[in-house]
Amino acid sequence: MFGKLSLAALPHEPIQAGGAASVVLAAFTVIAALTYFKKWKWFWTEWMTTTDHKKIGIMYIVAALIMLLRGFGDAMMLRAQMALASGANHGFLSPDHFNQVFTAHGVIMIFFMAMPFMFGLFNLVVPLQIGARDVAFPFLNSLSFWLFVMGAMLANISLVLGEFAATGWLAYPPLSEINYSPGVGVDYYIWAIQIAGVGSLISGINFFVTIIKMRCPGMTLMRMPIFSWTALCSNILVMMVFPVLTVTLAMLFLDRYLDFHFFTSNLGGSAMMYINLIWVWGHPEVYILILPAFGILSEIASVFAQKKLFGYKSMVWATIIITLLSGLVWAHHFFTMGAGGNVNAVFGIATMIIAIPTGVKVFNWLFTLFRGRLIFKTPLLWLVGFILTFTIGGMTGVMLSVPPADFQYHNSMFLIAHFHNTIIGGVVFGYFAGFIYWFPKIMGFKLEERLGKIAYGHWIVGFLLAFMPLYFLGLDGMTRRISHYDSATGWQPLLVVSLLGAMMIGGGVVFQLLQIAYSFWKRKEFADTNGDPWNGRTLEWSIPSPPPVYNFARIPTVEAIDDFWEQKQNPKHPAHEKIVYTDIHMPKNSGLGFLIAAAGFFMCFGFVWHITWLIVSSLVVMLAFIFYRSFDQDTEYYISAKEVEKTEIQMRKGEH
Amino acid sequence: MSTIHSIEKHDHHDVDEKTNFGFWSYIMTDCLLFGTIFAVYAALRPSTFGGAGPKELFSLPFVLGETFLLLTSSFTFGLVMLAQKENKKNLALGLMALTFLLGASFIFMEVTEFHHLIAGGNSFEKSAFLSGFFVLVGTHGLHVLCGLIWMILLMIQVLLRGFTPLVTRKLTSLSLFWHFLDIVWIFVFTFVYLIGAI
Amino acid sequence: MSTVNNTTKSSLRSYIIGFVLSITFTVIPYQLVATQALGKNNLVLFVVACALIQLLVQLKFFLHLNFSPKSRENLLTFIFTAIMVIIFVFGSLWIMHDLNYFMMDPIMEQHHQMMKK
Repeated sequence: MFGKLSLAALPHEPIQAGGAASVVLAAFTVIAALTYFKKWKWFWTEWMTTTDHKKIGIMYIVAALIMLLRGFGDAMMLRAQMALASGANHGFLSPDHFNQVFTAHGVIMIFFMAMPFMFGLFNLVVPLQIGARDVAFPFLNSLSFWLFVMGAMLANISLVLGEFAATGWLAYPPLSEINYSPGVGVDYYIWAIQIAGVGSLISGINFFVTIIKMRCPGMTLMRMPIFSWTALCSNILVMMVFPVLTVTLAMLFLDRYLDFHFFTSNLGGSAMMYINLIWVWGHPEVYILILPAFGILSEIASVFAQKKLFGYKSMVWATIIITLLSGLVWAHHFFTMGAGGNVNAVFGIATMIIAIPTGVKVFNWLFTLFRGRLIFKTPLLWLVGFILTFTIGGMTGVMLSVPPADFQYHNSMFLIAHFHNTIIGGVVFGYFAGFIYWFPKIMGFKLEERLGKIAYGHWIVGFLLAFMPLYFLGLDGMTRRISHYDSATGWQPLLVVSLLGAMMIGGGVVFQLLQIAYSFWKRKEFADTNGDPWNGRTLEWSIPSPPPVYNFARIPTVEAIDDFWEQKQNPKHPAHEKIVYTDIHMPKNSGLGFLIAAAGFFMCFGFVWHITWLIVSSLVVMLAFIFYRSFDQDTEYYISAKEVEKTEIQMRKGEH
Repeated sequence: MSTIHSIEKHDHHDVDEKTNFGFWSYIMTDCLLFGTIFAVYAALRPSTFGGAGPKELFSLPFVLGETFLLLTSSFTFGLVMLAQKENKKNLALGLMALTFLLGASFIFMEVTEFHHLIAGGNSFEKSAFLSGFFVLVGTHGLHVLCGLIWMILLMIQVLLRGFTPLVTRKLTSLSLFWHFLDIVWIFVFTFVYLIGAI
Repeated sequence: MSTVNNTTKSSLRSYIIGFVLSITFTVIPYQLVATQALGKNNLVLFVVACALIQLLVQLKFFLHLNFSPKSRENLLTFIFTAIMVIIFVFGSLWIMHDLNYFMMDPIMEQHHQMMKK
């Protein structure tokens, strides 16, 4: 009746029970609060059914921050285990549990923290930067978000019912095949990522079309803000490589469920084909994540140095070249796995070449800051921290790109240090900077500075303490993914330092949460009164904070790069002409995005536990919703010109 | 602040451009999808694990029949779009029905082929080669099936509503999809069946 | 109204030409393979060439992809996609071939060769 699902799926070990309890408690708290404050209708009409890119962006980032806490919890467990488990002490995590924790840590941080954070920032910022009223396909935007949520929920429900994969975040076969991972862990892994992956692909198409087709008049590609450029390239990569991930995981699913033989160790399967394909996806994936961070930092360098971005054209070309090259380097993730010298050499050289356009970007940031009038606010601090840490990470990347050398580094802590260096120092620092920079635009008030600086201090020191030792441990021979080591190795002291670093990062997170709460409490004091709190240069700062639902009362016409800056200098700029208000058509809300995704959740849950009736009925329901949507003609509404005028006058009251 | 109240022209051309370009972009991602599956098929084709290979298993005349069915259906759907441009609703519906029949026959033949293989002991679990074959041809077939279902939905919408801008946009997307599926079949026909028989 | 008819007539011609050419480039390679008329390598090359030609035929006559400004964005995205597909497919096949060569188990390989005979 319930397939493989039974009461035995509930956790029967204290730490796992703790994890389960926290998930249940979190869900319960949300549901209880909504019920107690009678906010269900509000939640449904304002948030669950919204097609407004700004609200969808907020929801993405809220979800990402929650998942950051979960992923960080996993990280603390791993660091604590490593600091303790020397010699006679075997720590507190069994090897199998440890394996699940590092797998979940990776999966959550990449798929359910970094990707949604990125799509959240795209949603919040890109339409505003290009002078558009929404994304190209607002309904699909909602659907993408809810598909991601369902994926995240699947990954988290594995804490309550069953287990998660214990294979590492990429689930290599043969370990991930049914005979070596007979439990439901890998199945949760497959379906959580597949459903979120479909959401990502749809979003990729959405933002690609938005940027190509919906730029305001006058905004040629070479006048577009640099963040939107990196968003364009990132979404192109999403479109190109997520299908590869979908196919690869689908084939793993077929191997596990229906006895296919793509990657099995018998009957002709090839596990290396999986590894090859997963990295065809996996390498571009990290560039998908880092390019927007580069874009954010370019914007911040310019605004906080009060100077035009140095070398805009070369920045654009560097971004394009990085995008192209990122599809040519994937084999560097498996130099040691049997390919010959020719293959390794080609991919090694391609990897080294990618450092060049990246270096161009670093120099451009430095030249932007050079002789600027620096505003030492938190976003600038994150930028400086990024340049410092990402450069180290990049250089160790070049070390790794030399195939013979990689035979020493591969799968050691040196590798762990390198990718956390680039992902935390690059992606996370960049996204945090963007979060603080654009927060006032979306929420209408700034984040408190001092708490922000204290949080940053904890993060940068904590990060260096947590990860620099790992480079040396790697050079000393320590491999990754081990839950215990011999005390004779002498690794423990550095691992304790690493744990202290992780705890400092935890402190940083606490201060970030305090900063948000405190700023919210004092929001009237920190209010953004004129929409332009940083003296910005791009179009998003030309509208009120928070923006009206339609963003722009009049679609702007642009004449140059950083056109808003030009507007502020030039009283004769066309933007200062009287606005002629017109009726604006907007997309209607729709619950179908949520409903289709929810049906998808149940279908995937049915797959995980082999509950056939659940799979079939959920699929039927999902198709019914899709057919309904196909016949739906009533998807837009008009805001009258009068209404627009009233809103504009009301919102701009505070401005001079 | 002077205000002139006017309806902002709901520019169908803009919406058409967005939707058409968006759907074309989706088709591009589907090219990547099929490309990956082709790569796996090509890599695993020699791995028959001692079992039967392409030469023994595939019937060329049968596949030629399938190819003609799909190719003709791609042609007839092109005619559907011409009928739509001339606002000839009944002609369009008739041609859509014909396309549907041709596509459904293609699926019927493919299911028959699969059944024949499985019944003959050459199912997907027998070797990596067969796994690859079933997924490559099967994924294409699944796409065709989805296209057929979509075709029914649109036939109903054309019947009930005629060629509104919205319905026309959807028809254009379906025609892109349908032509694309025949293009993918060219490669299946060539690399799986023809080269398999060489 | 007559302009619409003229456009439709030329479009109709376009579809018919595309259809006939596609049949041609299906039947010819089919016949050659069915009768094994060429040597193995030549046959493969010829058949692949026919597939590529038919691809171009259908892109032009069915999908109306051309170099006009209207079609340019679609053309560019298609070319980019084609490049990525070629890199991923041939890159993967090169890597897999390399791996198989260097990781081949001599005993298993001998066994396979014997089974083939």
